[in-house]
Amino acid sequence: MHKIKICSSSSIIESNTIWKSLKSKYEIKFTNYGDVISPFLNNKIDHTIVMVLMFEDLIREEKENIFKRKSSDIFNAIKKKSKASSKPIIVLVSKGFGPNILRSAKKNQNDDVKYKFLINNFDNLKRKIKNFYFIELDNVFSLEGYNNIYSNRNWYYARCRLSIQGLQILVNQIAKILNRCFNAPCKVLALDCDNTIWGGVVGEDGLKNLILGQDGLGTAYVDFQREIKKLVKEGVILVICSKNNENDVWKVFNEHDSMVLTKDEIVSYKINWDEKTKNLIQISEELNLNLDSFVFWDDNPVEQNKVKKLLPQVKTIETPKDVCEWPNLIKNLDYFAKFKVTKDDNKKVEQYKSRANFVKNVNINSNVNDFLKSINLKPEILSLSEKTISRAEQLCKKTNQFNLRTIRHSETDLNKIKKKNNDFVFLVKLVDDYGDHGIVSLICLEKIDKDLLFLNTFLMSCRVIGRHLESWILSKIFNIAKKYKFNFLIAEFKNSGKNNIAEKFLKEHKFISISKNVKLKKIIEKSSLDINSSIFYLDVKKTKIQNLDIYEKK
Amino acid sequence: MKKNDLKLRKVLMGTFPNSKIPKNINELKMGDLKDWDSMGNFNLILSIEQNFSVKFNMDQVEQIKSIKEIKKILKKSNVED
Repeated sequence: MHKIKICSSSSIIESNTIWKSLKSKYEIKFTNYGDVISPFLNNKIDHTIVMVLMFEDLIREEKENIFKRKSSDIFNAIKKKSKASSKPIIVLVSKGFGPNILRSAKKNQNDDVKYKFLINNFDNLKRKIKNFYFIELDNVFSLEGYNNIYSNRNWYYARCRLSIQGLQILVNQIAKILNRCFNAPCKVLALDCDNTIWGGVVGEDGLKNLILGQDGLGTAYVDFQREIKKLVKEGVILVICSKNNENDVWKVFNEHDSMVLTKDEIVSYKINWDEKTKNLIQISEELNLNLDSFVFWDDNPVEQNKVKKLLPQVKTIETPKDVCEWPNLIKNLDYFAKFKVTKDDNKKVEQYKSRANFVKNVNINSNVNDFLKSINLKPEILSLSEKTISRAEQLCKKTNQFNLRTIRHSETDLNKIKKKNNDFVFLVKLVDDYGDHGIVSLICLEKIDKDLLFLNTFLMSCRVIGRHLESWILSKIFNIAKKYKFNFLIAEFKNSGKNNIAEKFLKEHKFISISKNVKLKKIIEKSSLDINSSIFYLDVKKTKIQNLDIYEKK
Repeated sequence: MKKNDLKLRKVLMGTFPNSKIPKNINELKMGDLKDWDSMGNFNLILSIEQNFSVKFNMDQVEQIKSIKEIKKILKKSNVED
């Protein structure tokens, strides 16, 4: 369980059951309200910090310099802590009721100036500091109205500025951002066609009568498609799951003037009359992506309910009846929202398309290894550098399946490993006939004894699975082991519920349980590893790695 | 038992999940349950406001210290039994 410290400038009624949902997911400690600095002081305990700042609390004292001092104390605490810990630091701010609008119509009021000063500083920090996140609550508060969010009675009675409704929104925002700090966003958008990306039923109404284009509701569908296109650019995988005749659908894609989405943006599709649940499962297998990273968007409540019931892990959207709401809804959808878009994200569509193609061809070819030899696999080792580190961190965050221990290293953590030994952390990039897959693997090694090299991290993106790339990587790890005269490679398997494939890798490559080797077991017992977990070893000198012929140059 | 009694009991259970709420709640007052201290009292008030769709003013909030008073004020606020 992640450890979270929550501090606030005034009371947020920590004993209220409104916090229950968060308390069940995280180990949460609240500091006394008003004290927003102490969570930053203890460097020994590594926890995530959530700070709730009510601007009015900072300007209660009349004296000018108190605000300046209070805010600079906060900025400095954040800067200092971020150097010592890579755990997220999250600040949420609300301005509260602003000054009289007539007064500030001509001249900025003092409080306005102060608030801008605060925001500018936090904006600066969020740009400069990797693990610092900043949220302006007023963006969400204003949707409900300040009169509903703030409660003067609660303030005078309990030193809490927010109403219960306001607190609920605050809790929701904290839950949202914590969730994204610790969990990867969804990857796949599964779309229906009729009455979803256009109005009307193409099979019945015909191409010309579809509602899509120039005015009225037609523009809402266009805007909806535009928002989807933006998601595609951020790396969201678009698939179609539609009960239709395939030709009819592609006819709209090819011939309708107002279509924004194009056929080549669709990574995979099932356009048939089968159950959508069955189709979704097939698509997830083709892409090798878990169904829990799927978002399902269909206008039909019956289809929605079927998917909800049979595939609860899929995020099914309860679409509003009024399509006018859709563009905004998808734009603000949290499922796909990520903190930053990397260069690799932009290539996603091509990569997954080639993945789907590859799977098709493997299934056609009877001798898989011969087939693999023919597709010009070109792996390459990259060292951890400024250019590659954000991808390395991203891989740690997102890789769930082929991941031995699922340790979510931050950039700071990775740099620490690199500092110990340059060779002990590296990435692998892969190109083959199916495309440039980009950086797909990260390896971190750790010395636990003069004879023992430990696989701290071995992860590989699921989109290149099936190429025996892991065998090639293992041979490179062996080379490093030999270079530094380690005789044994130690691996630990931590079951995350999603990483069976990583366990399979250990078995296929003949890793041996540590319990079979008393000598090694004794050394491990003295190390920081938990001897009761699943620990395995390989004898570097004696083990012959399989499948390497695929990667031998002709 | 009256409808509001049932509802109040549910609110008590929700607000003080660590305490056992007796069947008859009429005589309950602040201090009787483990977490029903002054902050717990405020949480109870907030929960009653939500569940009965009422809003208490400062005077009423300061007055409420027992189920009896809650019922009295609910009656005044025209919450039907």
